[in-house]
Amino acid sequence: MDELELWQEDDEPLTVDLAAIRAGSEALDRKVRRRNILEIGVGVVMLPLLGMALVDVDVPLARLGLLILVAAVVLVIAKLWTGGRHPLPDPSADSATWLAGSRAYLEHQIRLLRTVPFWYAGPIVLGCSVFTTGLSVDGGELSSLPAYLAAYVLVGLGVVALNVRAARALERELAALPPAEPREDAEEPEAGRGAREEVAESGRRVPDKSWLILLLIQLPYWVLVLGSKIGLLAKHLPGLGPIAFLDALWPQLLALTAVALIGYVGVVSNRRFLVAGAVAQVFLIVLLCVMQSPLLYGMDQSGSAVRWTLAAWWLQWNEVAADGSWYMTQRYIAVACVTGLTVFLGAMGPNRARALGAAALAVVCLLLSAAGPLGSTVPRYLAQDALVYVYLSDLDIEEKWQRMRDRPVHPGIQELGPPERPLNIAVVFLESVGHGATSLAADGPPTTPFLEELAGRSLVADEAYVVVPSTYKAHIAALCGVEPYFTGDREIYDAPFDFDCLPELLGAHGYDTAYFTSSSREALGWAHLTKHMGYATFLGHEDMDTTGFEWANMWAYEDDIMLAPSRAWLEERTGPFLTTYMACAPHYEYLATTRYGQRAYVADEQHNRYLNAVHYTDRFVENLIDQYEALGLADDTIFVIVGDHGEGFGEHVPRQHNAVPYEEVLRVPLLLHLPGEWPEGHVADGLRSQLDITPTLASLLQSSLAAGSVQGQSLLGSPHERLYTSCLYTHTCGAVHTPERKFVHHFGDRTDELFDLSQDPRETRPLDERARSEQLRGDFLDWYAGGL
Amino acid sequence: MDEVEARFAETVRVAGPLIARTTRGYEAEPQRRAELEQEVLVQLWSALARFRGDASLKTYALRVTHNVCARHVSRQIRDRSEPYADLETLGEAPDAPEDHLDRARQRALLLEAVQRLAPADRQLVLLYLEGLSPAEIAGVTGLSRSNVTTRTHRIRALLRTRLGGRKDG
Repeated sequence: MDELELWQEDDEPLTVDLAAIRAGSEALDRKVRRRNILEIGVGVVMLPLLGMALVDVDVPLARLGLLILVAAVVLVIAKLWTGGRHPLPDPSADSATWLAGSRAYLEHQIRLLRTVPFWYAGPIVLGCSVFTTGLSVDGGELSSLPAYLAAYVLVGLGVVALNVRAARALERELAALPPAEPREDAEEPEAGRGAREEVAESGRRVPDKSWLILLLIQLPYWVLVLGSKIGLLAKHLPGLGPIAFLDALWPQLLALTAVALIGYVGVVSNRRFLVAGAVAQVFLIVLLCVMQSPLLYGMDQSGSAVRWTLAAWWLQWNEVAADGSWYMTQRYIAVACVTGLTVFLGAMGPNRARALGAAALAVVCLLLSAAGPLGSTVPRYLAQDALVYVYLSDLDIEEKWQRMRDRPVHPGIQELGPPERPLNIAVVFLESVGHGATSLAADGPPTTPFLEELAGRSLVADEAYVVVPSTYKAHIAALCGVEPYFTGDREIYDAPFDFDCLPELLGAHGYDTAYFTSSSREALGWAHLTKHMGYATFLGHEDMDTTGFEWANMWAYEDDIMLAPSRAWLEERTGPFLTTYMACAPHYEYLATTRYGQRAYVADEQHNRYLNAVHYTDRFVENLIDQYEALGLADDTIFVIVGDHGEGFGEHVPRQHNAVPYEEVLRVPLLLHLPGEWPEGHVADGLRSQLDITPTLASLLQSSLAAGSVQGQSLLGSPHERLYTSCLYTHTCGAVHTPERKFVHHFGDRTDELFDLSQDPRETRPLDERARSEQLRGDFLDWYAGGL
Repeated sequence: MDEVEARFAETVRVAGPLIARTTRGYEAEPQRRAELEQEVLVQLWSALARFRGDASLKTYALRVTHNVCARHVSRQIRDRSEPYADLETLGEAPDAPEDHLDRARQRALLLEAVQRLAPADRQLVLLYLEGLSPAEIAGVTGLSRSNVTTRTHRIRALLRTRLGGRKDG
């Protein structure tokens, strides 16, 4: 046949370079081997490294990030392994079979490349982000965190873009393959059948798994928030009935639903921008986790209304806390931007109506969640989503602080007359020791037998209260005789004060002054505070021999560490002096020191450690007075023993002290001991205040107030008709004590309360006396604003 | 000489020119054609290690050649701007009268016509031009023998129209 002859006349020989062919064949084998080694190598190198890191890192969030990374590496290896194991089309098969195999192979590779955001880039970026966030949160180094997160997201997007590009090239190749024409008279080849199944499957593409993807992205957040919230309710509000429990939970569930709806808009309803939507969703969830974690942690520890700056202090993010609410505001703006972008992408997609509807529903959910809870049993700050609560109540904190800073401050004593009776003064502040935690209380635990005995020969104020439950605020009230600023750290950093304090006033009359603390010099800014108060000498534990002393809490040694430096200082004194001792043992952490053993006061382990620490301070006071007696100074020294504030252990939900307006925190032990002055003991009955210490001391020294005045009144005189207290965190809580009633104001976080302490000393049965409550609320708010 | 090398040498002897012509049918550009030939031979070398004798060496070699070439064409698709020609164009006679062209020129024009065809058509035309029986073509392509017979009949008719204006049958 002509055409065949014509064609076959071309007998140009085939160029066969056997060496090159061998090399090419071996290169193919090497490529396969290298891929296998790479897959196994990634596992061999990465997994042990991550395992070691998991052992070393003890930051929970960072550990979660490492776990995500471990899961991500396993996922990547598994995907590469199974993906790489997809049978390559056999070129020695007939063309129909080969075509079907090639199609199946290409379809598989394309799917693998297209899903890179979900099995590779996404999990790795999420793991790295959570890990870095955890470390940053723990280290308080948050300034560079956004840059890290942005870098991860950008690298992730770059990887996704490269893979999408490769997938598009393969799609073009797939489209260019000849159409499959299966033989009609033969069994359908296995590979061909498989390929059609693959093709049919690939027709659905990734979006069908979008619910799963959304779940994977959002699940950690739901677990974090819902788990924490249920834990918080169980810890701080034990014994809630089912209705009250649901009332406490529904605002949180609605807020989470809003997040889920935004996730729906970004991931499920939006197939056109699925990758962008999913990446935005990952970013949003990481951001929300970063914002929620410290708030939940702070609330877990304090049980108090969430305050962003409080949470920051708790985590020792000092720079962040100093930055105030601006840090948080930035993150709210970021959340709004990412959410806006998600909704925009949703609106640009094919399901615009559905996306916008879901976004609108999310807004409704958020608004409704802000309205809860319905009942009065559960505080608003425990029921609402922490971010919703902070947004509504905390972001204007700067403005509130400014209002507090502008509150008129009493001018205090300007000049003290020379003491007619120049006695020495030794003030002992008992850290976190409330009246009820001592043996001075009728039903108190037997923690302070020495104080109980000492009270029998001292002036005792049985109903003494703080002005603000904070250590350095107590210093101002007790030793300056004026109400402190209600908030902030103005006493520490804004020097000099607008008023003078006893160390400075007595220093003018030749008193030598010294301040001893078992804590570090910088803890709570005491070095600044005491300097501004006028102390000539200030000693922290850095100035003391710590050999043989145990840590009592995060920043203080056991209090006996002060005895040796006290003795050394006293031995050098020739004239009158004022000393102050800060006994820090019962501060939070309440480490179990062994010097005086550990007794079983209560069943709760943490509370018991605290009561043992209270007992320690009792022994310290005894040792201190013994020291003065041994040095022959006791008879000429007025000892003032006072709690700076008490400590809450969930008696009324909140814990610790800065935001607890109840008796366990506000009522403190207060006694003055001057050997021989009150041999049978003397009770200053009625309402008394830390403010009363300065005028009482002035009275005992027979020193006149030459200029200025104090807000307290001598314990030797009549009691107060009314006492006001503000919690440390502004607009959180406060209280008014009158001889008949105690009123507690919560600034809207929960229903205000009125108690009759004579009938209900544990404050468990609020009275329903609206007129009196209204009156006291009005008085309280006037006082709070500085009107009294 | 090991078994694979011996089998390879035998395959090249039996199907060498055929492989060369087939790759020319798939790739016109000389440099790329040389690379394609090399890729075909490398794949053939690897495939011969798995040869179990269930087809002739020629059929086996042609399967590998066509499959590798088809893959090559699909990868080159990005560079291709013009659409493939319809099989019917194979029957169009060259511009110059046949008598005025030497055999080499006719062959070159035929090759060009083949190279313009879609890969599936091209495979059948190439296998037909190599003189394979319908059964052999079915063995290479995986198509049914009746399908091959019908389609090669049409190809033969078109080629004869092209080369001499004669109609078959």
